[in-house]
Amino acid sequence: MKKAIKYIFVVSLIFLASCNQDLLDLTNPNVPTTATFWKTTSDLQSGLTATYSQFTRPGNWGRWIYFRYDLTSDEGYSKSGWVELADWTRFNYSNYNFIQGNSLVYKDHYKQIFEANQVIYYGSLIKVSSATDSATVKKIVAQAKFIRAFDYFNLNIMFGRGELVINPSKPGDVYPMINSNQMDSIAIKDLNDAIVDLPATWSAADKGRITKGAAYALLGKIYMQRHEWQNAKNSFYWLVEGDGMAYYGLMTNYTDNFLPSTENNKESVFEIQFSNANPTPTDMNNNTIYDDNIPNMNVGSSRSKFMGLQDNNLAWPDANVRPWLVTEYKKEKTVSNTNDSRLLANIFYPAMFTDNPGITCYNGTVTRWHYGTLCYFRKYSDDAFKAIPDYYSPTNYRVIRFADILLCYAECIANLNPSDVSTAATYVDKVRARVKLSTLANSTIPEIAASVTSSDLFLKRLQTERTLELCFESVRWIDLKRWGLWNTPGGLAELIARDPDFANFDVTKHTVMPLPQLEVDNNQNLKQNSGY
Amino acid sequence: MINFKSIKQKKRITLLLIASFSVVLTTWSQNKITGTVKDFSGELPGVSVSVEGNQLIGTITDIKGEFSISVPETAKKLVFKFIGKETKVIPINGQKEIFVQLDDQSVNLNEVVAIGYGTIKKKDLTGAVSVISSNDMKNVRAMSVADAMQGLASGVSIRNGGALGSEPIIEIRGIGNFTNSAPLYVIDGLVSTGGLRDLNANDVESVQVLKDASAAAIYGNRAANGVIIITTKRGKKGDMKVDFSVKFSVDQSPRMNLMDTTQFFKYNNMAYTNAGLPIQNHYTNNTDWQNQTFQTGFTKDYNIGISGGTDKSNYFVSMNYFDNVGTTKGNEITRYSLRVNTEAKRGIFTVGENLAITDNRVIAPGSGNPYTNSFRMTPDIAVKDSLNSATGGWGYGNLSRASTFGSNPVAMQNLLINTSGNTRIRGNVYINVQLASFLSYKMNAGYETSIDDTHSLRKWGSWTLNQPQDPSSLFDGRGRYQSKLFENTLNFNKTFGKHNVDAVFGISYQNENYNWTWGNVQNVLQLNGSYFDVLDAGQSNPTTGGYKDESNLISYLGRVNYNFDNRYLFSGTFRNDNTSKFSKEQRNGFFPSISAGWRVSNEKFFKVDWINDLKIRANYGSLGNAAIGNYAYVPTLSHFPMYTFGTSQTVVNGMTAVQLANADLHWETKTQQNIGMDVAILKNRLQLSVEYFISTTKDVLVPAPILLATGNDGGNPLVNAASLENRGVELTATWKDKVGDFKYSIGANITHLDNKVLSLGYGKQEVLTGLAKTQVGLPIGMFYLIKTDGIFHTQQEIDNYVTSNGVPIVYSNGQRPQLGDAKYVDLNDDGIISSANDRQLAGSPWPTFEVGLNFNAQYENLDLSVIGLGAFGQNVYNGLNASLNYFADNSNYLVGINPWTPDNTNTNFPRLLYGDSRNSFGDQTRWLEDCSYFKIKAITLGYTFKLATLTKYIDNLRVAVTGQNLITFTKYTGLDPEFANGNIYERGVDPTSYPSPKSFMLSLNVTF
Repeated sequence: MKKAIKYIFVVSLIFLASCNQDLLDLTNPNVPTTATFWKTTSDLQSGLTATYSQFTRPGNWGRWIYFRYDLTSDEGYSKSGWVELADWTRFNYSNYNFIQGNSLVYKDHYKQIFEANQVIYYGSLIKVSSATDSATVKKIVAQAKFIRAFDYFNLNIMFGRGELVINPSKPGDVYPMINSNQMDSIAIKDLNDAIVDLPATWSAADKGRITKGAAYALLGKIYMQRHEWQNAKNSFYWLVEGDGMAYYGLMTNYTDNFLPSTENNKESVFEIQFSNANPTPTDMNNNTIYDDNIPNMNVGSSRSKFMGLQDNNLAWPDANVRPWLVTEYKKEKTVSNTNDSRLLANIFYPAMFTDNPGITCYNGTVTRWHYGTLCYFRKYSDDAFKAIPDYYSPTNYRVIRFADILLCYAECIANLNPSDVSTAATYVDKVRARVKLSTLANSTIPEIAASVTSSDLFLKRLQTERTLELCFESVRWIDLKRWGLWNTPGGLAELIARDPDFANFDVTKHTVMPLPQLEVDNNQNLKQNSGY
Repeated sequence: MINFKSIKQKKRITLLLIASFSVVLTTWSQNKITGTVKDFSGELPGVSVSVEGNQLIGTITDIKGEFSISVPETAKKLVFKFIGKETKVIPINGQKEIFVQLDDQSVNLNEVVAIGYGTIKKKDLTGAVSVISSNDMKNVRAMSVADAMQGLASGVSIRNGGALGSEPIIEIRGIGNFTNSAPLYVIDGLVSTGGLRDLNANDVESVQVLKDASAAAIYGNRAANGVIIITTKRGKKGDMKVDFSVKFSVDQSPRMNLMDTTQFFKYNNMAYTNAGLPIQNHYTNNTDWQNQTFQTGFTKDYNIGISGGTDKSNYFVSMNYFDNVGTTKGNEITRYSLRVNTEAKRGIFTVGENLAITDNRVIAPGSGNPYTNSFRMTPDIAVKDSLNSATGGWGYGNLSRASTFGSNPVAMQNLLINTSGNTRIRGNVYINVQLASFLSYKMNAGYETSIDDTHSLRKWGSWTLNQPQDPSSLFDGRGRYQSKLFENTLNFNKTFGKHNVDAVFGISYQNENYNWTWGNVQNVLQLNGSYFDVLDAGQSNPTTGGYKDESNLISYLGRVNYNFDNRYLFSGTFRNDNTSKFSKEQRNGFFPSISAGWRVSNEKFFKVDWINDLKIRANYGSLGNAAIGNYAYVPTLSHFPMYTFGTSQTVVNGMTAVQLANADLHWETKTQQNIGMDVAILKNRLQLSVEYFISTTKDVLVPAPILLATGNDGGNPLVNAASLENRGVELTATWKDKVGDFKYSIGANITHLDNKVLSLGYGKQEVLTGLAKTQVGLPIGMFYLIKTDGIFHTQQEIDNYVTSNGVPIVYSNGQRPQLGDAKYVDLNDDGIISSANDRQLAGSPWPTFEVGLNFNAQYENLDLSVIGLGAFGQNVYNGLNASLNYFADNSNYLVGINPWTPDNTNTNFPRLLYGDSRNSFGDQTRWLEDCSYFKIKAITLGYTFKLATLTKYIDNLRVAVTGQNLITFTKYTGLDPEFANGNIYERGVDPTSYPSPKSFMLSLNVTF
């Protein structure tokens, strides 16, 4: 009997200990799960903020994209001691998985697409209870659509092909390949959708968000790349001559476009917002691990640390300006017979201290030239307010400026109506007038004056006008692609003369970068760009 | 079995007493037996001789080892016992005279081995288990038990982490997965996930390594990488015994033979001139950065152990102070530990506890690898440089004078002060109830907590060129780990005639959780240059964060060992695990194993005199692995993304899914077959064990190589995709003998292992990782490099350097080679040397075999022990060489380089080129070396003073000197052929790993 009691005691103990399988149902106490999120408009708004946040990532507009857009073109180059980094700016690609060359750019753009896709997808599922809510959801989704379109536009420019990702991703996804045309189609459709729902302007608290004007402007730019000049002109029309006119104009001071004190101004059509609120260079210090899962992420730009005057503690020796730009600026004086003020605004060049006695750079710390014959980036170098550039510049990056739109508009008109160069010239003249240059027609330089005599001459001159106004604003590479300057031996020779790196340029492959090889290996639908 | 009976007798003393008295009364004075007891060296006096089952009838042997005993007619067997010798039980079978030889107890076959939820005699084992005793480990200067285990067990590869306080990397029978090779630790029955650093190595009584499925299956889902069972010391019956030991060691890290300024200028200028660049306007200092970085390390280890006990209780108390001043300046680790192990019995109850408290503190200023830091600084840079006063005044690279982005190690030691520490309490309480002679119940409750802190003060100032000018900052983090274990087991043990059954069944519940909280502030308040080292002193940008993590595991387990007549052994084990780490559908895992053994030597037909014991065994079983994050299967959102909006540029937090997750994650399963044989021959002097095993891991959790286009970030999500195979042979041999007063033993273990990837999942055939490639059909992490083919000595060779179609071959920068340039094999024959297309399989990082050797000898009061270990046949990528010979960027160089110049053409060392990597690609076979080595890990010479004759207070006093890592036989030119790379895919890449220090140790041991 005693024994029996003992056994019962033991058996019951064991059952007591074994009962509670519910202990195994643990939920992650740290973060919401996908299953519980995306229920309200505020969830959707959070998702959109995260999507915007991707703009600040290093493979996006935080850093490396400038190496493609501003250093590969004939405006800049790299003589970095980091040989592979420099090689990617001069068409030498040996490793197709170079993080800073193609991989991170590709990845960060698709990260943003993933995040935009979540907003767009869950936005379509969300249950709204009022008309106000419905309008809010539409505005949120429209911004996400713009961002997705902008990503596909840039991927198209850089890689010429990609993968079709328009729904929230799952780990096992294998995507179809899309070509350049299909990428444009996605972007065009998204932008047309977005234009309907986007506001023309935002309240003070929401400044910096995407506007209807930005969507029109990007749409126009895409059409221009496709040489669909009429569609392009129609898109720009809203900003230049249509309802949007009220919101846009040129700033009096050219340099206002590159300062943190004059952000989101009337000249800004689409501007990426940066802040130095989190001076934590955590993700920027490590070249291989970028993780959005860290708190207090850097939301500044590190461009000025890489593209500026190269000296101890100033910028890294990774980016230089081609000197032909200095020559080009100096060709034409202003109406008051001074140098084009954009030269000093844009470039640190050897004669800058002699040309402009008394000036100082980097907040007064650099007062004389001892950098030999090299030229360096001054635009966006933050030297107006910083003694030492850092990895978290608060200066917003103006991706699309109204001045750019005016010049684009002129390019559309000149292509559409070769006989009507004078109309086209008026838009160029507006841009020139701000920096006190005469009209094209009145220029003292004969070949400039002659540019209004034919659309060919005008369009050729426009190539220079664009670089003088927009150099180092990440448009030149896109322009070169649109103009196909490298398609003719003469054009290529012109590029080589300005930028010897173009001696390496093979027109059959170098108009796009190689896709990350890992991606090609992992997706049997995706073929590497031809020639690579 | 027989021992087992006697154990039970103790537990039923009252009953026994009554029973035996009745025997005495009824069967007094029957047969008389005489005999002699000997050991290897001769007659053995003082041996206790008694009737089995009746200890009251007994005697002891006299000075000649002879005995005489009268036994009842019913008596069947005699028991011979002597301290330090194996107990022997001899059947009487009517004999009148019995001669017995007792073997030393240390003969391995009769050891009792802990196998998880129970023990077994080693001779009855059917699984693969290695046993390491504290005696083997005592001579080593060991921060952790793992250090002390090196070379002592076959199939167990332990490679040193080198850096102060880092835990060695342990691989048991190869690598079975891609996430983690760390085994499971069970310390006194408490399942623990690491933290070996916090265990006082002096407290360890024995270590058992469960290597195969049948041995480890009782630990189910966490046992796939093997199980290391650590048993700590307990008190023994007798007066209080005090063991006091002191160890001092002096440690020296190997150094690189780097150039001084004059030599450096010569080669640096050469690299610039060859590249057509003006030479640098060098500084003129001459700094020996290694002298600035390294120092002589010093270790102090004081230990006191107090133990004792009675029949009914025992106690063991120990205290330890361990302090190691590292070989890198500023580094120090300090540990205090206390342990109390006690046990008491009353009636059917046995109650015991193990408790250890450890406080561990590490100071590790600076960051990065000190070796890399000290060669990346060129010798012409001064430690302090007034030119840099705007950024703190430390010397570092300068774009025109000493262009390097190396970090000044002295500045780092001064500017970045990292301290971390933890207090760990680890213990358990158990109650054993002897319900019946054959049945006992045990309740075991374990608790472990570690209170962790990390503190980092970043003072203002730069240590490298173009460093972000961040304000000073202070980080302070606090974490707490807790593990609660609750287990109920029933043990059954009964003999029916020749049948012996030993079984255990149980239920286990374990909860683990971790909380982490941190704060960070900037612009730390300072006064006269000294910082206030608390968060309150932060004057701007306070930020904070934290998270918590939890997991639960409920398991059912069981094992039945069946033994027929000491000839046939069977064992069946299972564990059913349920974990919170997987979804409801996937959380249950069942891990069974079966095994069998045949003791051939106990068969009647077996009549080979020189074989004392022969056992053949085989087993099959499965194990699991779920070493993944606690919530890895649930897709979550990140709330960290931020963006700026509005005219006031306000930063707003957003939320989005960042890392994708696979909802159907499940266990990784490893099935393992093992066959083995144990032999003892030549009077048990030679013991041999041979094992052959095949293990296959399926559904290996791998970070899926998912598409970049998914937009996933924060690491690829895990999937159960790959499978792997390990096959191996292990041989362990021990020879033990005595020649006169000279006693010695030699132990050797040899392991051969074949690792093979069976599949990588998703139809993938290969994974490329940096310098290595992991490919289906081949071992993990094969080298994948561009083949080097010497240098160009003649123009003729350059002219002939063309593809099969006659296209001139160029480097990836488009340039043709010149005289003295490196020649590479253009594998794909496209005329361009590139990493993308010209790499090929170039060698294996896996040794053909690994060996461990140990030798122990004793002559009178003198003892000597040697531990050696080695690995043979593996290739290693010498990261140090690759870095020091990378002239495209500046760093210091190795003395003795012999580069090609027009005047020095008789060399294979290419032309030096700055800013051009063609001659020093990182991924070429030039950096690959044969890394076979044999290392004398430790040599100890000890002398024991037998003071018992002089004073009654001190029993003995031992003095010993140990030399560690003094001699290494190898052709490898890196710092240490015994290095560890934690990246499973790049196991053979030596990234200038921290080498093991050479050290001299003096130890003193006093026993009262």
